[in-house]
Amino acid sequence: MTTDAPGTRRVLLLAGCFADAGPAIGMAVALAARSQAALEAVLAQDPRTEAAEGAQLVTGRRAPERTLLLNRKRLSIAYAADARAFRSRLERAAAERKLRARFRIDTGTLPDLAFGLRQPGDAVILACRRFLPLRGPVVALEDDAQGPAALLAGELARLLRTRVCLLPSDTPPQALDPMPLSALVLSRAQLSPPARLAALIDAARCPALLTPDG
Amino acid sequence: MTEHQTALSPDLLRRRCDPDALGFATTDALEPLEQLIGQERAVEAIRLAAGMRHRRFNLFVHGPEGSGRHASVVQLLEEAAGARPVPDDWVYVHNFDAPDRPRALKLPHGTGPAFRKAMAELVDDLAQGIPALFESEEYQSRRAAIEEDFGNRNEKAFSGLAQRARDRGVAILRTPMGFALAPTKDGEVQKPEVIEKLPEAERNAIREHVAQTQTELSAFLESLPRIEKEHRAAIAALNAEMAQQVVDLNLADMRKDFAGISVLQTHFDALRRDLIANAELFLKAGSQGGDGPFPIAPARVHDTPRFHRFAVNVMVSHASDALAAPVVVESLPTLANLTGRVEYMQQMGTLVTDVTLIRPGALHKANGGYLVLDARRLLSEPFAWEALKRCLETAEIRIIGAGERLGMSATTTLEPEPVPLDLRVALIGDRMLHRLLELHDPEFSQLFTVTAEFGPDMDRHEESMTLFARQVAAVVRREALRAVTADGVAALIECASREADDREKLSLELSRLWDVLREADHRAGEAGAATIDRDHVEGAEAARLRRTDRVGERMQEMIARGSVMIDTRGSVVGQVNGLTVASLGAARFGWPARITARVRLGAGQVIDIEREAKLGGPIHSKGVLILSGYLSTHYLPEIPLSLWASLVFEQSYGGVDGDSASVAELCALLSALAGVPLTQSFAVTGSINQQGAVQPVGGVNEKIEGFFDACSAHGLTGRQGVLIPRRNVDNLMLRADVIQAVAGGLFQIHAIDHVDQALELLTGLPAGKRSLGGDFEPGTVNANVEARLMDFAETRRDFGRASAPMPERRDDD
Repeated sequence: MTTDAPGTRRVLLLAGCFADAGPAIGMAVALAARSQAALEAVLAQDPRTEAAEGAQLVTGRRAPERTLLLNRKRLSIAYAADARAFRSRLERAAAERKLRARFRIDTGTLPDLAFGLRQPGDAVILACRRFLPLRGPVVALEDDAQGPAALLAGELARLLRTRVCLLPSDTPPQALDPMPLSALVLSRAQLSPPARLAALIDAARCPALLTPDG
Repeated sequence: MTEHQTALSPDLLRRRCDPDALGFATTDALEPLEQLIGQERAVEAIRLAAGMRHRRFNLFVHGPEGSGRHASVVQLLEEAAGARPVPDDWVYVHNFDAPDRPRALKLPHGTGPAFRKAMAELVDDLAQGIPALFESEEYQSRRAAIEEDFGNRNEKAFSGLAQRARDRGVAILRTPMGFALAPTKDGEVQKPEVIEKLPEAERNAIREHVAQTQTELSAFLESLPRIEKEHRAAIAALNAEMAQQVVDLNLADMRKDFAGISVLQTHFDALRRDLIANAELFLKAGSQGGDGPFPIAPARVHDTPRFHRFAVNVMVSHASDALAAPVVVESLPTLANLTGRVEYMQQMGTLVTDVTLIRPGALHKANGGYLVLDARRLLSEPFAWEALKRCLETAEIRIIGAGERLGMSATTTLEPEPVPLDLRVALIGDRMLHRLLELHDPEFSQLFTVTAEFGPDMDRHEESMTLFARQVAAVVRREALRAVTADGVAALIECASREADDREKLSLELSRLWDVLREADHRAGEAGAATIDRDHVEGAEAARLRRTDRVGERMQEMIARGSVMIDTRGSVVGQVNGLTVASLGAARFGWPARITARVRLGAGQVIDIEREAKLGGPIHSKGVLILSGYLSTHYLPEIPLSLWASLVFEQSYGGVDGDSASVAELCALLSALAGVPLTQSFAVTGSINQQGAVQPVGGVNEKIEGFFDACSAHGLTGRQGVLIPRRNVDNLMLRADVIQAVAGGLFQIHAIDHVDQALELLTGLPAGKRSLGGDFEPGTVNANVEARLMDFAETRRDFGRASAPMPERRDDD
């Protein structure tokens, strides 16, 4: 395969919690296996959660009259549990494809960590998920149909057995909001300004891929 | 009575078969006869069982080994099978309502394989068609519409919620514990201590905003399970609708192909429902074989375990052009081979099974026809006999493994629907097995109501000899042997009479005779002969006897060397040569045994030393008791028998049974009483009754030949010979060398009717008859015996008077 991100030397998977990481793990392992790249995953601890000590928590599974407040100690335990689950799932998936995976915990929002940790040759996956397991297209914000984001989107679409949808690179984030996306692939042009990247990720709420040359 | 009256002429010693009377030159001129001969009764019974429709008319066939029971039963059943319709095919298919109980379907014969092939093709076609359909533009569009619909309804709702939260200055943060709602200012989360310092009105506003957002978010999250369910249902409905198109399209041809078979139409309905409900199985069809996440085009996927639920397991099928019902011979009737079995395969360390792993048994294969089983093998296989009876009683084949019967099956298994059973079972065994089953298994007589008994021989006459010759011709043709000349066939007929132990009979234990024929063919080949002649047959028979006669030869050697003491010359008081015969497998051989008697004064006891030493069988003891009866009633019937006598087979250590030595024993006893020596040149065989009449015995040929061989080893004198019962003359089929010796005056064979004839031949004295005065003629053997017994009686009486009263004679002494 010559079109599957030829410059990929590492696949970097960033997730804010294990629940978000789940659907993206398979994608990361498949990409790493196809390009024989290194695989590394990071559980990102959002620093805003520390600031939100005492904030109300909503789970959807608790009676409304019972209020659960964000507690640093409980949060720390929850991150540790998520990290174990994340690491275990990642290593098992990697072993099935005869890969080795590295895992660590870091602090930062996903866009910040993506900017901070990204090296040349990295394909970065920012793990998010929709509330419903919708099976929509892989969307690439790419003006050139042969551009790296479009090509990577094509590959992902085959992997997920779905379609590709190319949108102009200047598509507003709110246009992604109602779409049942399976994944979002972004080209280098989407990386700045960072606020736009954050808005795109927020709107898409699905795994977002940054192409290696991005 | 003279020797002349008892001596047998050579022509009486063997019944020759005249080859000219057979009326052919070689067997090539005969029409081969493959049918059974001489077993009319058995054939009638087999035909009855084969033709009866009542299900309990199963057949038990018994008869001697080598009588052709197996081959004949199969042949007769195959004839009967031609008149029965070709049975239907039986297949097992998955039961979509109860997966652990596969369904048994009856199909017109020849249909099973076609149905199996059609189902395999259907699965392969669907494995191509369903993924193609699901990747079609139509499906993708409709699926996208559903996803967009739910995306619009759900995700848009969330984005609106998130926007409103932002507007209120509330951030929704994802954490491993859930969503955290934190107040923000200028996009930054406000810490609690900062908020606490705000004016109360502002704090209240913030709390109000957080509470509103919490209410909206909670309501949204709580609605998710219901929406997810609706989403799944919408996708499932779309999938089913799409799958239905492909399934119906593909099933339509099958429905048409098997239109006349209602049971299949019912199965197709259930199959259709399952295919539509499980269409996703086919979407994974191509993702096997190391192709990674990228699917390959599926081809022959019906063989993979995932699709075994759609497979057709043809248990039994008969070709569409078959003309007869099946006749199945199961040579290893284990439980599994009889009723079938459910096999297992290992999958991820677990034993699993499915409908394709049900294996048919002999009952399935023979259903609608005939099943031939060896009774002994059947009875020696655990659970097999019980399973057969159960199937015959219930008229259905139910597959239950030995493990399940013993409660040892530790894995999930199948319980296939029983198959209705309609067949006739022929058990082949022997008389003893038949008797034991009759006595100890009450179900046997109910299930096996017809018995076919194969006789050991048939009458020898012109017609039967012709039929025998035609059977020889059949063997010659079947086994591509050389043709047999009329003289060769005559030799075989003589062999058959010898095997039957009766020159008026032909043995029907034909397998042994056909072995002689095969060996004769081999000898003819070695000799470069184009046909099998008498010499080849007799040579083969002699060689066969020689090969099996090692023990007999050893006995003769011991006699010749004197280790076993047998006199063939001279005369001795109270000693006679008896004759014994033994069988070792197919070999029978005879040899002489010295019998001695000793007498003295006593109370009327005749001691059978064999019985006392527990070496004598009951029939031998009976013979000794009979000769005691003869002794006590023939001599001095009015005077107490004052005798003590002992009788023994000298150098016999292996046990004696039968009464064929009772004439010899009586002669030895009378010789001892009379003090008259008996010639050792003769050997005697025959049993006796209480009147002194000599009765026929078995193995007369071997006995004569055994003594002849013993005499030959010492040198034939012309005075040696054997005394046999006259009623055994018809059994004589002696060896050529014995006949030759008799013809040359070197050996004698005498046929006797009464013990007196034996006494005269053995002593050379008249036996003696009672005169009108009641006494035996003086100088005769009987007179001497009576005189000695009188002496004993008087002595006993005198002895009693002198010492103590003599005890009364008891009848049971």
